[in-house]
Amino acid sequence: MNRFLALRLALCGSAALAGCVTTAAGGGDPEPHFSSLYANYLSGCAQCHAPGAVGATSTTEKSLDFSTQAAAYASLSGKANGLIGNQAGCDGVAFIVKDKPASSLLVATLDASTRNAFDLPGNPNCDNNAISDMTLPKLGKAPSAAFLTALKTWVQNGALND
Amino acid sequence: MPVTRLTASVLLLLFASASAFASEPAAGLRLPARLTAGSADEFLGTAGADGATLYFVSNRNATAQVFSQAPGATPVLLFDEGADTSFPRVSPDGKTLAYLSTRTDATGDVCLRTLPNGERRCLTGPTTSETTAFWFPDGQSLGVVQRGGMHGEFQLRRIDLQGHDDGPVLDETGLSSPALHPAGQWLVWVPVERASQDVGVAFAMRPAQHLRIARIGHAGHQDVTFSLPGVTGFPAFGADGRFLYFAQHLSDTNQDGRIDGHDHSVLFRVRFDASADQPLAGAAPQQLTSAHWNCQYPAPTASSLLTTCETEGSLDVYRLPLDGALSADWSVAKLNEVRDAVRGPWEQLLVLSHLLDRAPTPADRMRYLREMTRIHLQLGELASADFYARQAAQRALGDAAIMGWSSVVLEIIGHRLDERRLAGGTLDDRFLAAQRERVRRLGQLARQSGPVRDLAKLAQVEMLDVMGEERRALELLQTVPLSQVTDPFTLFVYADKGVHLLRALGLHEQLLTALAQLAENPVLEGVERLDFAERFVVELSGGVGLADRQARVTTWLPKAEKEGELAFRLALESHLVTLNKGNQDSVRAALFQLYKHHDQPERRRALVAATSRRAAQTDCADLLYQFANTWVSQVAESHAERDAAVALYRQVGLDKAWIHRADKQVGDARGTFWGLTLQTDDLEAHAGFIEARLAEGKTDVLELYTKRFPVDHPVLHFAQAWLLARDVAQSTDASARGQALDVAETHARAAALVVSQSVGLSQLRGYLRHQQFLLRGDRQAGIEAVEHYQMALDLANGRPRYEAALLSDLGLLQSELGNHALARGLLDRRRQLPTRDSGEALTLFLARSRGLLHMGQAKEASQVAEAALALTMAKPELADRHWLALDQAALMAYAGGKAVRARGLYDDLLNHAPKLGEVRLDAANRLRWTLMAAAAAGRDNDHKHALGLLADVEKQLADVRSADLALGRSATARTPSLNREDIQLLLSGLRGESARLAGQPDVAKTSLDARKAELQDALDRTDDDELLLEQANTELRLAILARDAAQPDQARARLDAALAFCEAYQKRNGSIAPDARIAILRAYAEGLLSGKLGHAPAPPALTRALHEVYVFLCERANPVRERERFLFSLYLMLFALDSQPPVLPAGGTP
Repeated sequence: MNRFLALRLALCGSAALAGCVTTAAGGGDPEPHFSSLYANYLSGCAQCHAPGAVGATSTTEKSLDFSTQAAAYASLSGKANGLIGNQAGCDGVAFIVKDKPASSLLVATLDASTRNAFDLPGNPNCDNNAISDMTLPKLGKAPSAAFLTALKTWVQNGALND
Repeated sequence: MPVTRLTASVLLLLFASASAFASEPAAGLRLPARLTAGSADEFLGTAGADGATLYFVSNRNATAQVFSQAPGATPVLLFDEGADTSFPRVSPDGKTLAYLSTRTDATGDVCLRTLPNGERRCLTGPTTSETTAFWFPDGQSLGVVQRGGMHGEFQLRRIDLQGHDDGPVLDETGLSSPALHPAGQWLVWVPVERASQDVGVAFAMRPAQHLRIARIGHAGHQDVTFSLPGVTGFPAFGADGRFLYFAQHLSDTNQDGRIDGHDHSVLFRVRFDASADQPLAGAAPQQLTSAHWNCQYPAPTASSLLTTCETEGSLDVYRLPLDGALSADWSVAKLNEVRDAVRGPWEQLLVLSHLLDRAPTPADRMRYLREMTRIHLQLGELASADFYARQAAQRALGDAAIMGWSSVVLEIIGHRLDERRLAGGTLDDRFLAAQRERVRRLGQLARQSGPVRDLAKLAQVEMLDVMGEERRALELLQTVPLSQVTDPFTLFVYADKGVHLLRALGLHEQLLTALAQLAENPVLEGVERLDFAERFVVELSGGVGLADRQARVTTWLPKAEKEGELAFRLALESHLVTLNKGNQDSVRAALFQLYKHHDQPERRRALVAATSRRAAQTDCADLLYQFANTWVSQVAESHAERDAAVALYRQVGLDKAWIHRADKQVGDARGTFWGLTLQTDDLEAHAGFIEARLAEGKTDVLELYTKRFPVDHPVLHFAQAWLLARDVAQSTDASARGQALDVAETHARAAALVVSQSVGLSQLRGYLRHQQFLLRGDRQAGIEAVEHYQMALDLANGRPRYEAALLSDLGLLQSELGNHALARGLLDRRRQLPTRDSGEALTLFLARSRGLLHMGQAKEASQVAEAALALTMAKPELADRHWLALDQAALMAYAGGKAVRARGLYDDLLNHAPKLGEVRLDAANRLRWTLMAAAAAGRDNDHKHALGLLADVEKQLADVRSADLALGRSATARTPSLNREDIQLLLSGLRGESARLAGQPDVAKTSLDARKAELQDALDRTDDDELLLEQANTELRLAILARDAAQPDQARARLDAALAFCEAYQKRNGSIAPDARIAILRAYAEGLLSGKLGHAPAPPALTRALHEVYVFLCERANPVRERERFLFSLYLMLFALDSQPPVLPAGGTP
């Protein structure tokens, strides 16, 4: 039983995954390609979501791995694993639903408007109440509006490993 | 409330909806950002020409001095004037500082220094008194408020930089706090009036309650009175001249019935049109700060407003946005959102003042005026309540309901003022008559229909209650149909005075019914109904056990209106009442369902607040974290609640990390702390991370920080200093410790150049200086450590973890510095906070015990030491420190006169103390304990045993190496160890006394002669004055031996020698050393008077010394020495009367 979900969330370790970022690797202006998104923001998540990550705890989400771009893409292609407490409703929910940014958990954790409107048929308990905000000032460096736009476009375009 | 591991600050955060720093983009109320810190007062802040460097006055060094502070850096003393300095003002070109100095003129001179710390020159002299100065825009002259002598009138004169007086700036006199418009054409000031024409203005003046403005070079002036309650002062123009800032003592915050300089001050600004003939005509002041913060001395710069505010009784300089706590750009809707988010009454009043300014309709304006009246009334700020009630009446435009309301409110205010004036709260006939008249008048108003009727009745209820007519008051209260009352003002008065009466009469069910009706009243806003629902639950739950509380909630829940606030709060309570650490996840699940069901923000906030409060009380950290996270994820970034939600989330995260650490879940603690370091710059999280990472056995901390931070980053410096500080604590190699300390201090100083206001850094710097003091005996380092610790303590306000650690550190340090009274105060404060573990509790017990001993409270010291000992016996984890507690308990028992107990404890130590694994240390400790056991045996009159132990000491002393003795450490590990000479002195002294009392005078004499030689040797070596008194004491004891051996000549010679040592001591340091001298003189005088010292006349040296000490005892009357004073008068009289003195009764000989 993962008792410290909220704590894990503080460490960017839930289905909401991207907040744990202060040292975004750069990468120029974000573009709707995974390599750009990874370089621009998502690589910072490795501080908590990677094997042996210094920010990881016993309650950190189990499946995500941002240690490399390839590992990040692979793990984001899966589903949230081990969420408990107020966030348990999102356990087993896909991080990315291709072509549907509004239904992608990854987007909802980073973008308040997506989160507030989140409505996933088949997963009624994974709503805005169950999804954690993973951005600054709660957690770390907030993704820019340009990044969020690029992220949504990337998902809309099929979430390719490009 | 049980002690839990969740900090009290969590609870404070629940209701503090404000941005922590005004400089951050704030979604809610913007708090002033603190720029200075320290235990002293820092005030009169002003900016340099660059707009960034801060100049301020501080009394941290006992006198008021001017400091400068670059952004983020630590303050620097600009110069040491050797006298009070104040009112720093930087010239327009930034090169010169003008200030007021009292060095050569106690009434003030205007002086200049070229910045940063150039030569001093003054523009005025001792014939005049200066109180304020400001620069003219040309930077070539100053405006100076001056008066000729103590009784002269205040006059504003222009003085150039060479000190030439260019004459008065204004024709009129009697002014203070002048402010010059940036363009130089307008002056604003506070008129000063003589309270009496016959008394000088210095003794009897009063500032007017308004401002006065005049155009320079033009005749006449304009008086400006703002539509505000209270007194106006400290005007200051904004950099662009478009606003005039000022301080207003707005409310009667100290509730003395008057608004004056003793009340909290609030900052305002008002538009200023320099091109108009009447620059302030029609302008409405805009409130910038809350009365809660008590801010004065506004000093606007081009980009921010500097001010001096009071917190916890200490003044500091703060910064605010120019438009204050509420953005001038915010809409009415945003202001209403902020109003819902802030909970403090003064903050409510601040928001209401803005809403009042922007009220779209007269009805809205009236509503705000009535609300402001109500809040002031509830705060007891009656003068302010009176002001707003009258404002409402003036704007009523004949509205009978408002006029009636105003009349009732003014009666209530009048009644409360009358009550406040009652001497000692005793009702007198005059008061009663006045209140009866009020009740009669209110009776007439109660004949009106509608809200005024009910309010008038409630006013009567209050007055009858105060007059002691509770039953009549109750009858009247019961005629108020609460559920039908439609005026919120009346409802709040009912909730205040009506509920008070019901509680006083013990009518609990009626009280609950009243609160339930208030919580369900549709005319109130949701947040107000929730407040009443909260009060209902508090009343419902008060004073009963868990089962009863649960039963009461179950009983009331079905009675509450479905989906109403009361039903919501009771449903919430039905879950919270069962909460404990074991069921927090199931309670969480139920609460989350409730949370999801109620999507009204105010209800969710209430749920989070109540849940957090209960979780903190029951140590349910997981539950608390869950809802702190859910809440912060829900509140929009732009919402006024956001700042509080974020602050709560972070605080809970920090608590959680420490709890992980305490529970030995080191990996979780490490990860949590790391996450926190990503969110904030708070060094507490970094320190927590470093400790947790090291506890995991990892050695990559420096590598991690080096990768993450640039080489000159303050956090990297902090981490390096922290790591070195840990090495210092764990090293026994003095040389290595010294080197590590030096490097650590270099890093800490480098961090401090960039980071100010950091409690973590100040604590670390204090620790490093503290260690320097301990390692090198550098007292100045100890004093600097105190300063750093105090700075940290000041900054740690509201952070109990830091406060606890700092109080411990500072208490121990003060104890080590010998400031035992200060140490005791700090350790007493420390006792109010929980201890981290039994080890810390033991350390505090031992330190407290030591402090008490040094303060002469040996018995209390012994009690505390015994408590420490008991703790080590009760806690297995303290087994390895048991002997330390035993050691201290033995010492304190000895000092406290419990010789038998001390003997037993020293026996325990000698027979059972574990070996410490180091032969030399064991030997040193054994020697010290044997010596103390001998002392305890002697005090227990077992002198033969004492002599045996002392022989053992002598043998051990011969065997032990001097270097090893330094290893012997008492329980107070930082106490300096005894050296061979110290022990030898103690040995000979104890042996001399025990041998004498054991009937072995020869042994006693030999020991005391040896002691004399040892003391002389020590005196030659150290030149320590106290050794002279030891010599005197030894001579006294030798004299007694000689006297008892019927050798009066020798005895007298010893006593003469003893007196000579006392005189030598007095010559050196001026002290008469009364205790030592009294003992010698008594022995001498009584020996002569009794004939035991032969029948010699009193030598002149004796009578002279007797007379000197007698005068001392008369001049410094002390009941403890009253007997000696009497005896000395007797001796002097007898010696004067007869050279053949009579024999005194027996018993006077020591």
